[in-house]
Amino acid sequence: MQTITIHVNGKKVRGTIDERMLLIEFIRDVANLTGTHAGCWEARCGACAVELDGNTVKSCNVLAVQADGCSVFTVESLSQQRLKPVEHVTTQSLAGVYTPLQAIGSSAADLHPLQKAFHTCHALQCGFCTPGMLMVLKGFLAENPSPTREEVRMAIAGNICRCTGYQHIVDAAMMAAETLRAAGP
Amino acid sequence: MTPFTYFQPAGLEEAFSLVAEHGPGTRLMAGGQSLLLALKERLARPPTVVSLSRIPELSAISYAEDGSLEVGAATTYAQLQKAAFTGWHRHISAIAGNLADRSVRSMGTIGGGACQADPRYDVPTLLVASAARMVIGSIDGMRSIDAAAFFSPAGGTTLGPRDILCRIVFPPAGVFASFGFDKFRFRVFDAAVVNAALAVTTDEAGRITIARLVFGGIAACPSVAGAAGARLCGVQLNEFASLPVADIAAQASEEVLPIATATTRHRQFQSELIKTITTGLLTQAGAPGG
Amino acid sequence: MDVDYANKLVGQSVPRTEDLALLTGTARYIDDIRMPGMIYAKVLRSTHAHAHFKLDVSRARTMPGVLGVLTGAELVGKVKPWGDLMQDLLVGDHFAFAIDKVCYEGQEIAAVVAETKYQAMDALEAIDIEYDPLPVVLEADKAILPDAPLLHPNFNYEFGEGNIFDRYRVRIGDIERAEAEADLVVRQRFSSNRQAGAALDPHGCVASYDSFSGMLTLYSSTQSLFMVRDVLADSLQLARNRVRVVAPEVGAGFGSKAQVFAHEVIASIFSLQTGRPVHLVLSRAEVFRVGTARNGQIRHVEMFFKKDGKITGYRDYVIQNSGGSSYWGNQVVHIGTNVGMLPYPVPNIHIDGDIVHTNTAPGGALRGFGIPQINWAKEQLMDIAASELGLDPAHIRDINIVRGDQCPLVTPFGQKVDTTSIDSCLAKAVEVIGWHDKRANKRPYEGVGMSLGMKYTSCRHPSFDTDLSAIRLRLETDGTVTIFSSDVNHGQGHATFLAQIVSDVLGVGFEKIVLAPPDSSNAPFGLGTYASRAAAVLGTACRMAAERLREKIVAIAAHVLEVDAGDLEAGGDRIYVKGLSNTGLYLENLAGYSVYRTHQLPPGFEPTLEATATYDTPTDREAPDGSGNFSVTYAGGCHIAHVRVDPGTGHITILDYVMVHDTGTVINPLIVEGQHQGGFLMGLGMAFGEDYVYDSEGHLLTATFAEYKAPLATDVPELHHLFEIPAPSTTIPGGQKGAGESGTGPVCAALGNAVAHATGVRFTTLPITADRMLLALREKERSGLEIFRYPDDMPDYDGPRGYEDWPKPTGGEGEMFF
Ligand SMILES: Cc1cc2nc3c(=O)[nH]c(=O)nc-3n(C[C@H](O)[C@H](O)[C@H](O)COP(=O)(O)OP(=O)(O)OC[C@H]3O[C@@H](n4cnc5c(N)ncnc54)[C@H](O)[C@@H]3O)c2cc1C
Ligand code: FES
Ligand code: FES
Repeated sequence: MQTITIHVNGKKVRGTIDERMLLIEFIRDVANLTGTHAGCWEARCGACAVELDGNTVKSCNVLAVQADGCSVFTVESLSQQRLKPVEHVTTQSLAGVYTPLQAIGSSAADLHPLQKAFHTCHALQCGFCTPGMLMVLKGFLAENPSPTREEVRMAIAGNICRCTGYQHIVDAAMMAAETLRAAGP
Repeated sequence: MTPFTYFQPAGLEEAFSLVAEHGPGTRLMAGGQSLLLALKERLARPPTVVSLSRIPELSAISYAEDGSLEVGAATTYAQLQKAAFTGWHRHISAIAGNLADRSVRSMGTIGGGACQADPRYDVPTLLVASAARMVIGSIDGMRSIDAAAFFSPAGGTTLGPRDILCRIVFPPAGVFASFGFDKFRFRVFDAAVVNAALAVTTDEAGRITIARLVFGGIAACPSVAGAAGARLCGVQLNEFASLPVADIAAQASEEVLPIATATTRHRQFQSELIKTITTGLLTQAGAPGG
Repeated sequence: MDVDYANKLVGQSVPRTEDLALLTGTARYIDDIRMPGMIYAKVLRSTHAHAHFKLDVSRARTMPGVLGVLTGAELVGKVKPWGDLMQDLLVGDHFAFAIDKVCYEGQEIAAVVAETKYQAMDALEAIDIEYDPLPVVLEADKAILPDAPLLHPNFNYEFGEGNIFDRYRVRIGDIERAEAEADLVVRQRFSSNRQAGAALDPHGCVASYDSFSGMLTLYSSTQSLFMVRDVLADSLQLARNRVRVVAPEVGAGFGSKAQVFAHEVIASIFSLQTGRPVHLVLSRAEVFRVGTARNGQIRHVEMFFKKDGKITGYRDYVIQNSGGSSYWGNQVVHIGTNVGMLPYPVPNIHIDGDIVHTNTAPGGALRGFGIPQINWAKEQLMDIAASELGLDPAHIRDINIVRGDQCPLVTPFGQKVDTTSIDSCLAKAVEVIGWHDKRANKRPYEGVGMSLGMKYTSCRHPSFDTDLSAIRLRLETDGTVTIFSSDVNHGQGHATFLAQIVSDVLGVGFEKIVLAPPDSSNAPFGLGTYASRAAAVLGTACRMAAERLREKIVAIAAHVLEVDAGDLEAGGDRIYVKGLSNTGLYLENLAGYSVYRTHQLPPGFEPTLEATATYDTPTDREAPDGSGNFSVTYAGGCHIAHVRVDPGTGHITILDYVMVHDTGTVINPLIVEGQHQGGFLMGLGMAFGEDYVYDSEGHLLTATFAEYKAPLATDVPELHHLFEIPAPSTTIPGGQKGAGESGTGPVCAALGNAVAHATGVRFTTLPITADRMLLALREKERSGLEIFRYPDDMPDYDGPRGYEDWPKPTGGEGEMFF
């Protein structure tokens, strides 16, 4: 057993763990963030991709102890508010009188451009591959702000999606790249 | 995975002594990309794992006085891909940037690729074709050997149980008049069915002195087509067009994978691929700017 | 009051409501479920494909953390077997574990439950097992031979014997006469590969038994709550109302999760024994080995033609490899063959089929359900016939297909095609790809090929005389609506398209509609999500339920407003008098009356605003001659591929791919587009790479994503040539047809035909991998032939029909890859 500290999404997470624990297990079971998925445990499907000290890695193929002291970002870091509030949940007859959304300090416009593009382009079906796709594309677009469709395909060649046929994922990556470019560095 | 004790030494000397102290069951881990696959499947069951990822001198890239490129064994593919190399060294970047996928390349290291010595992987072929020197250290001191002697003909490496691969020394950027690398894989994320490299040196008159034609994926260690390569010697690079390229490619194929032994579909496929890839490499080498 | 469907949500690409949880990581899949006291189970699986075994688990029982060990022998007589869906008969050939003999690699032998995953895995290693290997049979055509090793010697099948566990028979028209009068007979033996669904989210479950209430709750990554509940309850002999199956977010299934699995039974037993929640999620290798694979088929097909290209007959002998056990296997032949005959109303059909067990992975349902297999054979023979008759492949299809203006039409095989636009799909695809130009000006190693396919929209299974789905709706007291359904969403966008329907019918805001998580304890009975049934069958039930609910709502409104119900309209979350859309009553008020102010209700009105509807499709059972209309309506399409083959490596590049589909009325175009693209991916994988490769002892060599060649983003061409020509169904009230699988069926044949046009090599076996392609090209060069069938399998044969009369394949296909 060994005690390690990993900064997950900006928060310090300490755990006393078996050396056998993989980074993905640390993220899911110690940091309790289950958005990072395991589709193969063999570094092939990419569903477990996260950012480790600025690089995208497959968290099923890294030991938690390898990441001791490092900084990890997962899909949960992409948008702060995790629930999209419905615009008018209040009763119709009182519409406008109460504003509970302001009370919980939430707004709907807080998705990361990649998430927004995935939503708009229908780039996810079952959604299992999505967190990995988002994390890989985030790193890729940071390095290649103006990619071609072929380059996007190369970038996600280590991420398997069984549902979408990849077409809408590539569409979404291109759309997000444009948004990110427009937003400037 | 079976239980193990994990060490993360901060310096080489510490690593040498840890390996010596914990005995032959100890496994080194660079990026862990190959090792962890084996650990998870319980194919490897080491009691001790020593990480090499926090030893600064193992991930440094530098140049020797003669222009040789010295790459620390724990340098990641991602680092190599981004390095600002010149001359034939650019091929190292290209090869490092075109294997596995982005996420694996962030962790995987060139030394790990060498020590894993999987013949379908690209690093062993690159090392043998470029005649890299392998700098090996242990508690007993440092030594260096040729890449060709690093890979054991039976598979694996010739490293001893206490050895750590420390550095890979590539010849200077200007050494090769021409360098080429190519591979065939079913999908971009697959290991190669066949990979190949051709490194060519010339004399002052522009005549070929050495043409090293190396294939991976065929045997347990990189295969050198010596006779086929020798046929190129004495020729000018720009005279390649007049060479019987298809014939040389067929000879290379027969040399490293005799057709009589190609009894399975996989072997027959490899035999055909060697011809295609060799033809491509030769044509490329002969092209202006090759 | 009629609904005005103009300006409605149905037909619009509404972005999906389910996306947000999936995009942000808050969605909970099976492996994300955490319960207090949860323990972990792991399964010991056979490493042999066929063997007797002896087991000693005593060491494992004493390992640290171990809370229980299970084996098959101790469950005999306590747990009921379940089984294959046969014709009118369930054969009890499935059990939680093998008892003393395994029939395929990966079969369950024992299981361990422990405090942690690692302890469970450590304990598995402490189980002592001794195998006594038996000879294996891996291929369907070997399994039927008299001296083949027998897999299940103790079962008696109604329509089969030995390894043949079921048979299939079709006799339509007069095939002898068709043969005698034919101007052309074309024939070929075609075989198709095994393919995994390989849904990215592995199969798994968490079973949780409450010993005080006697309630067993099973959270499972499944496509079908009630199929799992009923079989599980039956197997454990628990009351069905005390078994609750809940599906968390399901990371796809493609058919591979549409049945009960041994691991679900095992986890349940462990939870019953320990009283603790038991987690059992399979690894990728386990999913490959036991998560079911597409049934491989060998089809010996003959087609009869007149000189003008008219098809007069189809004769076929099918041998289907359904692996070591198979829940759905025989249905695949029945339904796939029947529907797969379309779009050709062939007058004379004669088919025999043997459905067999082999020592390979269990055969299951998989996207396309038998259609890709027959399409691969039939659509290639169409091209072969066209070339023999000197006709254009587009023309020979055009003169044979069911045409839109002939509909409704009943084919000799019994299909009632209510509507179709397949003729227009063909024309459109031909135009988009530039067919005639590409055929006339062929470039070396480039070619175009097409395939037509029609696909059922849900299905009445011959062994399963039902085809229903149900929806319950509740108007909540704040004017929001909850939808209850037991048909599990796993990527199809149920929450979105059902809400589109409900929103349109009730005039309630789209964002106010929520789909309740699928839970058998509160959802109405439905069969599940498979067979392209979501939009059409579930969607119809949803429309019916919504209409019923609206009637009730309007009745209250009419009473309160003292107007005639016919003068009322729904919209903007209100019910109002036509033309006065700013007035009227909010739905929340009406819902309030229905439960809190029941004196406001019309006399005799039963309080609360709920409505349930079940839709069972008007489809036929299979007749003794094999005919029948199994599907309520038929989607369809034309695919054309333009490929280039690299003569140096055998690598095939798809330069362009056109898909023109008829999906009837489309509820959500973007979702349907996604379904077609995903369907294509499955077809592409089957055509070019995915396969179950075994060594000679029956070990699966492709049980990892490293070896199993699932297409990557770089393998898929740009799919922007995607068109819809809707021919709205007249049987389904909303006009929609199934979208899930029409993208898959035609892909293999379209690519096979394109490869044949490009190179002259006609593949008769799948998948067409680069190595096969390159070696075929070399063999063709050596042979000097213009057209080369690979592996060449007696194209000129014209003898009698028995299996023995078809010579074995040649062409170096005997040995294994690797
Ligand atoms: C999914 C996947 C796909 C891949 N595809 C390709 C591909 O297509 N082509 C390709 O070329 N490669 C491919 N790789 C392999 C990749 O090249 C290797 O995983 C990588 O090179 C190993 O590097 P590592 O640092 O992770 O090594 P590790 O896994 O840490 O180590 C590998 C082995 O080398 C030993 N070792 C490591 N460093 C040293 C050292 N300095 N001295 C002595 N022994 C040492 C270890 O003990 C271990 O036995 C793939 C890997 C993965 C996981
Ligand atoms: S789970 Fe890590 S790559 Fe598949
Ligand atoms: S959306 Fe299901 S795997 Fe990608």
